Amino acid sequence: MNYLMTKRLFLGLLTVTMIVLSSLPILARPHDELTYEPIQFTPPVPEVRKLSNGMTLYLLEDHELPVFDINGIVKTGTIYDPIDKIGLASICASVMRSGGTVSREPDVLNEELESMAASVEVGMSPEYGSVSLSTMAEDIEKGLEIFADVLRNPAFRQEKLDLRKQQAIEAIRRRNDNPIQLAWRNFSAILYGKEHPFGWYSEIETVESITVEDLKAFHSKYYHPNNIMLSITGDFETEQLINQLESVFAGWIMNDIDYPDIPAVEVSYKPSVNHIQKDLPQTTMLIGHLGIKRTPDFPDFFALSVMNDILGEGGFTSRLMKQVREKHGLAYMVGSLMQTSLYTNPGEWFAYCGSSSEKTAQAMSLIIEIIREMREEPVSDEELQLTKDSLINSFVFGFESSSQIAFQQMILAYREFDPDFLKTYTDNIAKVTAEDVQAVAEKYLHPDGLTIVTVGNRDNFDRPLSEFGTVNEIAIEQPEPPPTEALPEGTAADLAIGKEIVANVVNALGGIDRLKAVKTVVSDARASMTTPMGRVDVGVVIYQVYPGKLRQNMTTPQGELSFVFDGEAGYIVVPMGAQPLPPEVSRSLKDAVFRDIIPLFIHLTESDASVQFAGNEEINGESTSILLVKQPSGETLRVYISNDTHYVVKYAFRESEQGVIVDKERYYSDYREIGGVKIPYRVDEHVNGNVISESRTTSVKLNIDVDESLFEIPE
Amino acid sequence: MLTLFLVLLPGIVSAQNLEERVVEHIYPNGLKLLMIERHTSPTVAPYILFKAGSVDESDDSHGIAHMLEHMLFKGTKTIGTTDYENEKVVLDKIDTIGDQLDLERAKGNRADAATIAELEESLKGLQEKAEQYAVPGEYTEIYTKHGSTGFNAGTSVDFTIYTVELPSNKLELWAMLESDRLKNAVLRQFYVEREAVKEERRMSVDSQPGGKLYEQFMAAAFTAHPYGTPIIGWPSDIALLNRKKAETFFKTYYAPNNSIMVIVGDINVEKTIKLIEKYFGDIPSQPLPDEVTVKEPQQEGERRIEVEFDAEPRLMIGFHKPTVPNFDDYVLDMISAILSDGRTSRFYKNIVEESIAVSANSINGYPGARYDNLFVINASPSSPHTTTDVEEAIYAQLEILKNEPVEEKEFKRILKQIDAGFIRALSSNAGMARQLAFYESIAGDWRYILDWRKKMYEITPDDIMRVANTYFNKSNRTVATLVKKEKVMTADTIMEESQ
Repeated sequence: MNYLMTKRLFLGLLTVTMIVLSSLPILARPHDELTYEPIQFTPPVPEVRKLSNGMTLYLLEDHELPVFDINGIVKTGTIYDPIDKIGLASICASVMRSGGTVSREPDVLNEELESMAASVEVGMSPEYGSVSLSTMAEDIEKGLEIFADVLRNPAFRQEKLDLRKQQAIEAIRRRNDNPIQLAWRNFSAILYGKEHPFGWYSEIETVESITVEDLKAFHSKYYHPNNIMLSITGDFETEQLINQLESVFAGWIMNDIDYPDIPAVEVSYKPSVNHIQKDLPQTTMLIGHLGIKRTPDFPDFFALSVMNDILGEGGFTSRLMKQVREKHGLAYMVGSLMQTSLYTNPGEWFAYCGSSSEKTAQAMSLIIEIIREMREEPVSDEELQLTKDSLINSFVFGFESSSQIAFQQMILAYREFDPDFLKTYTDNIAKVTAEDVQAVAEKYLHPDGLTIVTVGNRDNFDRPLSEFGTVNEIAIEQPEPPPTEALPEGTAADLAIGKEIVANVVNALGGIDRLKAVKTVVSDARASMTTPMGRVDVGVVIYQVYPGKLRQNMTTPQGELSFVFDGEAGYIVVPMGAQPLPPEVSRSLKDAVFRDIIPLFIHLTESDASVQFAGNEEINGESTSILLVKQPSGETLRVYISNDTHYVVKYAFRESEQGVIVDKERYYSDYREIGGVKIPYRVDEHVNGNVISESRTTSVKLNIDVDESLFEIPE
Repeated sequence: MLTLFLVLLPGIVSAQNLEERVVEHIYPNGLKLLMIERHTSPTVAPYILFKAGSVDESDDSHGIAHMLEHMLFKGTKTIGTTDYENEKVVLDKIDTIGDQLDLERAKGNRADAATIAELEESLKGLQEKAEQYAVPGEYTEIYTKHGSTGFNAGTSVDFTIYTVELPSNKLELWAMLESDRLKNAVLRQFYVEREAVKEERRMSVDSQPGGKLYEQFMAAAFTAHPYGTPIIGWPSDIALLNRKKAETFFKTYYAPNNSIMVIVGDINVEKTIKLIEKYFGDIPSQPLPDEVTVKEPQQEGERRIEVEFDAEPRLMIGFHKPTVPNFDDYVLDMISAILSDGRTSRFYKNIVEESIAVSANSINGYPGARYDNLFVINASPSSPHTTTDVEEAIYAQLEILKNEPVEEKEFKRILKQIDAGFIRALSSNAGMARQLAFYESIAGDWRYILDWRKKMYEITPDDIMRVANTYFNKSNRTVATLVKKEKVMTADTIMEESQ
């Protein structure tokens, strides 16, 4: 959202004496009679200094209020993320602050700062890192000391990295919630492709792989004084401050930084139409292509600013707003943006719009037509004058506060712009002609090479999207929640003991050959279940066909119901009909089938699956050994094996039930021999420590014929 | 043009400094002008607020306060038109046809398709005719070309505010345009703008999990008071808004004695008082309707709702409580700071840092502050934690507030931040203008800000415990959770449903 709404970095960068421009010659209006005194305003100029360690300062004293602010940038960025650790730069920045320093525990750091109403923050953008300090003037000394400590000595405590990683993963899980964010992520991924870091987004695996060592390495590579610029404003005295800075940064030495090569973006204008299906009443659309690399000496800069303002960036007076919203009522939010990056990236140019499903194609055609018009016809004198007046007259808002002024100067230098850029800005805008505007529109807008991304419900569109080109459907993959308890890495000794115990169990159950001979199991049972309505007795028939198929028929006081699982998907069947189980339940069923004692111990014997010994525990007076096994969902299964009989006496695992994570325990007892194989006849299940079902098997039949149609997907 | 949700937030200005710097002037017609001179840059932020929000709407025109706010950008009898006299004739005809069309459409299944088609055709013809006279966007163009920034407006449940920042030599232009708008506004292009408002609703509510949850939560929390009605209106409300309803609301509430003007920036106070007199002095004051008399009845038990949306889970919890100037409202501001301001706050340390939620925040004073309102907590669980886990963790923190006195250290830190906030707020013209207008409208006097700071210093640990015990109770709360559409079926739910 913010990304779309960000005003172009350049609006407001500049100049000095504001002259009032002429009004438009429409009709005589009362306000045309007004006269305005010229504004005489010379904005203060920050003083540029360098510390002995190479850090560059933009200093501007301002004694209006007793406050003090530093806003700095570090030459680094998310573009330096390694491809297998996307997210590293951002996570490094946030753990620099949240993880405390070598001498300050995180809580101590937070307490010190907030008790003086101060803040220190560290952030990360694609092409720079940011650092800031804000404090009352009376606390400058202490504030500087903490600021320097965070920059120089971050401790990257493991638990704070773990927390930040979990937050990053949660953000990934939530990134499809907002249609604008969803459209934007896919739009930029299409424009840049997988070859370039601008097209990358972190995934759960890339975040999970980030370690404390990675953060330390990233920090020590990029955070050096010669790589940092600070804009400093507020109620301070320059010479004294320089001394304080020399002192808090003393001993921090310069270091040459070897930047990784970032490939140049391959600019092409290949048209494509991409749709993401989501059941929403409004379609979010992005329509555009790669933009223009606006270098410091870029001659078309000013004409482009005027052109895009007229097209869609100039708010309520832009063509997109006037046509799509004001004239046709097709949208509330509509406009265009030209994103400029700092160095390496052409940025993106795009139009954005949100229109109801039923008006999607109408709005899209209109937007594309308006884009074409920019190239085909010169803008009117009125539009041109309005836009130039607006850019020039609003220029003063780039100088409203000293922190804004100092920061601007610093960013210009970071981008290697000529400092005079500011002084000539309004003159350069004033020179732009209608021909210039049309020329840049022809040169830089490519209506035949548009990338279109829509998020919405195509079933309700007024006309098919295919009208705009072959539609590429993008499936949204909702990242699954990570396991609540992943398997720890086991020692060689634990793994060896694990295998030994598995062998004991297999022997106790009847030996591997007998286990492997079991193809089907049909069992009858009576179960007593605790439900929200109290205790219910049910009759259960379970059909198992190895590997993986399961059907459970239940006779309850309310009627018959069955669960069917064919190895991948699950269904519930009631007299009224059948319906698929949600993916979450199917995942649980997959684990349940995996836990079935016979196939589990065949699997543990014959595959190289890890089985770890994890100590002993007494259960109901019986000594047991604990084994840890990874289930298909990734959740850890704890298997408790009797040290006496070598039977499985208990399972413990976590599972999601109706969106709630619960701890489950299943107790197995009353093993009986059927066809040479030992089968537990009694199973009690506990959820969060409460008994929820007690099941007594009444008969078990092995290897009888089971009708395959029992597992077919019901109509 | 955006829907505002303003809240009582701590923040603003070293007290004595502010008291000295605000200049107040009341005109004979009841208009109140507040000013702060600030010569840091040659810019000025003139804001005007009307005590007219969605609570003031009648039952047949929900959404009209916000719709009117949009319509007031369409110009006046001289701006946005080439010939108002002739335009007016067409606009009146559009109203007649538009009303007939709306009523026919409102019949739903029983509507007559042929009648609708006929009316649509004739409306289209009239709109085309009206377009011949219209100069679309002229009002905004004037501001734009004179270098405006932040030109916008916002409607809240309590009030509507019109904002802009201009180079300071353009203040007279503002006074002229704003007074013309008050005297001569013409709400042209109504039905087209109504479509844009429908799109606004689809964007900010119907396609946004947060917007949807908020709307349903408020509707559940308020059963009688209009705070439960969405500012933008329900879809069927918007579909029946018309120019007449907007004009009625405009005439009833946009009076000088119902407005607050705040001008902060590079101005001369004496000259500004005269300038405003010149343009606004002749607008007559008028009797104002009564305040809302409906009182939300005491809640008699917990309310829980689920909102289905294709998004990850979120949670909102609200407790009813009194508004300003009740002392407990101040105490709840302090409680909110204790719970969720900064990294030392209790929610952050015990819920966010414990990975139970990715965010957990409290806000005192939703959805407005003219009438008794809610203390609201928003949170998003961090998987595998659920909204149930987060709810439990939040209640655990509220229990601590009820039973354990807050330490001196915690109070001190918050008071220091309040004082710093007062100073930092003075650094922005627009920020000051908004705060002064807001508090003047809510509390009847901007000095509430000063009084608020004083009260914060008076709060004791006992006050916190008493207030927490008074309001943070199960029977006084509304809980809304965002859940996925798909329903998880288990043996238990099947059995439950088959009963």
